[in-house]
Amino acid sequence: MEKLKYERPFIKKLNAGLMNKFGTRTEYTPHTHIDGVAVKELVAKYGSPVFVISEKQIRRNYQNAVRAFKTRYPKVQFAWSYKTNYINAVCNVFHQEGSWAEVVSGFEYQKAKGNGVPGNKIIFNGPDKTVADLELAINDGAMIHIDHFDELYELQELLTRLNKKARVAIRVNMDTGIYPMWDRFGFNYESGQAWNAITKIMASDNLELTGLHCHIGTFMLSTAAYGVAAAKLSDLAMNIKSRFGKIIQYLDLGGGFPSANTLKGSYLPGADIVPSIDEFAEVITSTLLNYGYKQDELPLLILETGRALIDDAGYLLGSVLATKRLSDGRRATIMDFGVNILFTAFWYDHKISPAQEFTHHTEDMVLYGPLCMNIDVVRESISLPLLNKGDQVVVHKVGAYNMTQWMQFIQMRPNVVMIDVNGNPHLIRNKETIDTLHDMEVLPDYLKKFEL
Amino acid sequence: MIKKHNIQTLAEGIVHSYAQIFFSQDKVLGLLLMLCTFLDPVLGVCGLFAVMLANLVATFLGFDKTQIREGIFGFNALLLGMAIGYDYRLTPAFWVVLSFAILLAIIVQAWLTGILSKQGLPVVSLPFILTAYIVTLAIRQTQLLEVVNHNAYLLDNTFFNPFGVLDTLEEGTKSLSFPTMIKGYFLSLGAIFFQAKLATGVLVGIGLLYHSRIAFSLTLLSFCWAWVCIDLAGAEMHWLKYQAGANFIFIAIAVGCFYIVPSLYSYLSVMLLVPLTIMAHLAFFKLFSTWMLPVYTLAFSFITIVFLAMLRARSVHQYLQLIVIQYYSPEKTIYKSLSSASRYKNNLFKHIQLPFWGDWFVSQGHNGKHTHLGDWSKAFDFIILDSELKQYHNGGTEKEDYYCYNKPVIAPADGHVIEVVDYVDDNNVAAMDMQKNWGNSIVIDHGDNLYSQLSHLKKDSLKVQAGSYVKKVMLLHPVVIQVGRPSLTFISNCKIMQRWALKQQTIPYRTTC
Repeated sequence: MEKLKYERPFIKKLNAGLMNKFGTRTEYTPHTHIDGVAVKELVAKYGSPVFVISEKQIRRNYQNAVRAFKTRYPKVQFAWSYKTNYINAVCNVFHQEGSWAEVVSGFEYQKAKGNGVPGNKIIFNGPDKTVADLELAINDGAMIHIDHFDELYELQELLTRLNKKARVAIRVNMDTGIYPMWDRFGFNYESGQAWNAITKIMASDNLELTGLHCHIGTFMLSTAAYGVAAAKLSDLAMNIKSRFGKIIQYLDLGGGFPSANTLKGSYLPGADIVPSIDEFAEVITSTLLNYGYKQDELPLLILETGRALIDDAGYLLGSVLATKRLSDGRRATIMDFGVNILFTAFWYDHKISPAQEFTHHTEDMVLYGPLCMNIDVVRESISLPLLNKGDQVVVHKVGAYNMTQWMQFIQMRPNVVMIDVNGNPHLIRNKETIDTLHDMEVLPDYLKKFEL
Repeated sequence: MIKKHNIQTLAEGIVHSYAQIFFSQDKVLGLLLMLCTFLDPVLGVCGLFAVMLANLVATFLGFDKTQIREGIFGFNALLLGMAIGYDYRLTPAFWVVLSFAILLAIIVQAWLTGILSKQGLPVVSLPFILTAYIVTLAIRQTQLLEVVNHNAYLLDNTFFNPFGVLDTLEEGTKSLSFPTMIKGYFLSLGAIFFQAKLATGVLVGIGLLYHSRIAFSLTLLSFCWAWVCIDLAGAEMHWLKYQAGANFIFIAIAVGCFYIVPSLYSYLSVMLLVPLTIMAHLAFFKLFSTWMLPVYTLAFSFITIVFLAMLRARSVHQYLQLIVIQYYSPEKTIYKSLSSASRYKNNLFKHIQLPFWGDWFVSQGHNGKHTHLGDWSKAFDFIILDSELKQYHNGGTEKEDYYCYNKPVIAPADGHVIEVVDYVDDNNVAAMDMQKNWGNSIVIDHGDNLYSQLSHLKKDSLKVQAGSYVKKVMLLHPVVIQVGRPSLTFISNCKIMQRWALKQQTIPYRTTC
């Protein structure tokens, strides 16, 4: 007979008659396999913690998004937002599915080029474009989305010096009815600043205004804002057509579509309140189709979706380091992952599942990470079964931003594994070692010796 | 006042008038034929005079210069000139009569052309025959002209013959074992120019062969077949072969390769028309013999005109294709006809686009076994599937769960919206509306008897009304309700029809992307 697993005793307050607002639903259905690969196997092979990405889910998400838009609008193009996750394997999955690249800095641009994206299919956003970056972009024919006047003047100067032409767009910010309004990026629509920039570009010989760009927010919970954004961009496009006779080729509505993660402070879980991509598609496409464009002048609709396509394809596997009882009686569980590699723990209440079977008994606990910092809290309060040191957990929906915003603080960054459509895991980023750090550091000679 | 341009027009008109006898514009043929007419110098002079006079009169009277240049006014005059020159001695009175005859020929030609060209029919040699009859009958009642006896004329000819070499040629060929049929053929060719010389016929034959191999082969085939037919009909009609020979030659060219695109069927129709020509010739011969008028090529003219009229009256134009643009060269005609058929065969089809954006799947296509049966068999049902080949997400219990619900539908091609049904309620999943089984629909008239119907559309979401004009890819309607049998729902039926009513039968059609 097999030795029974030891479960420590616990004291649970009896809530007679009062139901949890979620009924008797629990968060702890064990998640033992990801895409058919056992979690235990992955941890045994790649260590703990480890990020696991499901390629199948990425492709499914992308195809769903494409279908939502392409069945409603004749010309649609997605551009993968590199800042969401710039691991080359992930980016290439998107490029294989037909996505362009959207980058916001010089090194992301080089990454995109290194992956093999043709220059004219890279969208270059962002306020920080150095002269070298701009020169590279001009030579490659990339789509430069201008953020501010200083960049516009610098670009014009550079183009005159190089004696070349560039295809540009301007980023426009506007009041879409949501709070906060992101007016720090781009040119403002209501004050006429955007029109000012447009006239400057149209008057310039070496700039060709090919599109209009806006990115109105992030994790948007209302679709109406996109309708307003599409309408205001269309208004600019129509005015450009009537005033200059120029037909705008594309409207880039940016990203900002939410994933099903639950925001901290949200009453309902994310899956219940977040609008689906179809709803966003409906609002955007119907605004554009009914705006009054001539049939053959409908602009290409570009979307720079990031989070909505990859968040639910990423998992983080971690292990329990220790359990504690805090001074006020609360149970605390310390995991080997914290805000150092799970940056989005600052924004979301991630769903966390145990990776093995347990009894039905659960305990309210607080999840801490491995860092020696008080802010390192993964979940303030979560109901999980009675975990012991060495048990594995699976954190859901971590695909977006964690693998770009992770810190090299106290613990080094772990392995990243991708499971392909046939269920085979592939290592796509090696974990950092002490050499990773030493390769970067330069110790001046006079500091090499010391006496203690 | 005679400009260089006018002289050139006249010169071309004269040469082309000779070539027009064989339905050609080939200048080499024309000059060769002119030479052949001069093998009998009298006829040559008469012919040339007639042609020149005709062209001058036509130019003076103000007829279309292109037609004059093509020799349309000249060739009937040429035949008339040779015919009158053959019958009468060359006296001053003769030239006066000939001039008036030419004038009459031009008047008759213009008049007949005016009547027949409205039916799309040619006049062929009718002006020549009609004028010749009038002149012959008229002159016979006067003493104005002296009739020539032809056998004597031949004797005169051999006595005074600058073309002695050709006579020797003729003597030489008489000794060759020439099949009589072939000899008859060449003699008939010569007889067209009112000459009984084999040499003339051979020269004409060479010219014809040079102009067009198709025309030459047709004339040879037709003549030989006529020879065989006459033999089969009876030995007592032996004389017919020589008298009517020209008819068989001309009908071969006219029907075989001039007014009809040459093909196997045109060759076949020549064979079929030869016995008819024989009958017509015999009939006309009997008819006109009471007035002692020669039949000339009346049989050929008559049969050609009525045959072409018959071809134009058809409903279905199959096998024999009437020529639209006349290239005056059978080889070029065939080439142009074949190449334009293969280049433009797709122009008959309208470009139909699928009525949606993005990628959809066909859930039931043409001759589908569920509901695309009988008259409504050539229709498509479209649905959207995801990567797991499911039609819905979130369980599929609500109609909004289905991917194809509420998606835009666009017009497949330019057209007018002629009928719109927009009041049918949306069905819930698995419910079937058996009465209004097409739900909300739009019928579009694309012109040229082509209609399309888009069905199973969402209620109250129409963006066009009956009577509005839609261009291809114009947004019509968000789609879609479900009407179907259990376990099969089909959406967004699209069918192409030939009549406009909502429930009309379907025809198969191809779509372009």
